[in-house]
Amino acid sequence: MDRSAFLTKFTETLELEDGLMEDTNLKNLDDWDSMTEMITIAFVNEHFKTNLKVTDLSVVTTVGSLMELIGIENFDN
Amino acid sequence: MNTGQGCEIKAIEFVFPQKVVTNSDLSKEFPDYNFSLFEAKVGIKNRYVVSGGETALDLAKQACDQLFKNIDQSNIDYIIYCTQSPEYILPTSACILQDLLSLKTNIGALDINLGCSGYTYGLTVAKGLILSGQATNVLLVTAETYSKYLHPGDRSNRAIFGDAASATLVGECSNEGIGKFVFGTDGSGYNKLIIKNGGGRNSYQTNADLLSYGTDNLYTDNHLYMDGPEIFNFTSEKVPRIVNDLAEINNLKMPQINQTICHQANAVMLELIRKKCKISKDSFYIDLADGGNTVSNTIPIALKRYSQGLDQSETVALVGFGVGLSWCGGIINLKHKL
Repeated sequence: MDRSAFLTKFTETLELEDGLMEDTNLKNLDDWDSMTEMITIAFVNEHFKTNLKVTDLSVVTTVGSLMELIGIENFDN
Repeated sequence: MNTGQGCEIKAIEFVFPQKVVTNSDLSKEFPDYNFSLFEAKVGIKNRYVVSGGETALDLAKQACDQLFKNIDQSNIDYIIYCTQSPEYILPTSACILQDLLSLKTNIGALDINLGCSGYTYGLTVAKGLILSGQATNVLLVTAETYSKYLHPGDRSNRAIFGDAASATLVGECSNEGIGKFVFGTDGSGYNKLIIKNGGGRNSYQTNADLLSYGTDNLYTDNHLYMDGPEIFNFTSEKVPRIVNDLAEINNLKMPQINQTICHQANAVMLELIRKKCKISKDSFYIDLADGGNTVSNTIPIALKRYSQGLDQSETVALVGFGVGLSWCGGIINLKHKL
């Protein structure tokens, strides 16, 4: 997936007013909690066929680190 | 002896308590939480909770009374009462229900202590009783008031869970209306959804420590605790396998199943399950908007609602899963509006 398309879709999925950037720290978002973690796992599964567990998200900080977890080879420029 | 060749769900009724709690109500108590995102993703707009000392058995009686408007209660010869909100520690709530409903005394009555898998387990027990010739008209009741177990500061669970009761008549029929079911149990996850105090292991504590989980959700060991992330992991991995297994055991290919009705836990989880199972939106039931997660009641409520649009016989998969950890799924043949 194109990186900018990923950021746009992920922003829309989480219904955020400010667009996510790769250096946005997800865990600093006001709405980041167990529900948004679930939404993130479902979002990743839908677009990348990657089955994440909630515990996998413990290492995630920025959007970029989530992209690394998904596998950077899945992203185009 | 069973004079027919099978059994089926003849009728379902359900009730909610009168008191409604909307997302707007909750947002006044928890102003920092994004209930707009919650409503959009988890899919719950309002839930109903008991008040003024009302109990699960009170709700159960209402649901049964509604059922008996159209069926003859004198034919009931077995009560299966599924609850984790019993009237007392003992006696068995099903026995009290027999008397409340003025049913005859030469009938069987038992409680099943299961949560979200309870309705499907109840169906299999009813089927066993009927096909073995031991009962002809089984009253399967589910009733829960989880709201009584929730700490007022437990925002997550107060947003998800609602109270309700349902009454189902399972009776004989000429062909099989309840197919094969698969079962599962993993007690190693017993503490993922638990009320620790008040049973045999730990006494109820009058001054229990205030604890927290997730994002500022409060509870004590006297209250219900749910490890949401672990339950989510369990469900998203297990339920797609149950769906495949129940199709296989009934010699069905997925396209032959007209509708899949899972326990209505939350819409994010259900959407993930649907996609993993590669089932189209039209063939997968998701509706939590009015009532939320009512534990063992969600499947009968969904069945009743779904059947209203039925214009021909359909093959429907039912999957219950949750506290225990426990799961049970199978096939029914839905022949008419319930």
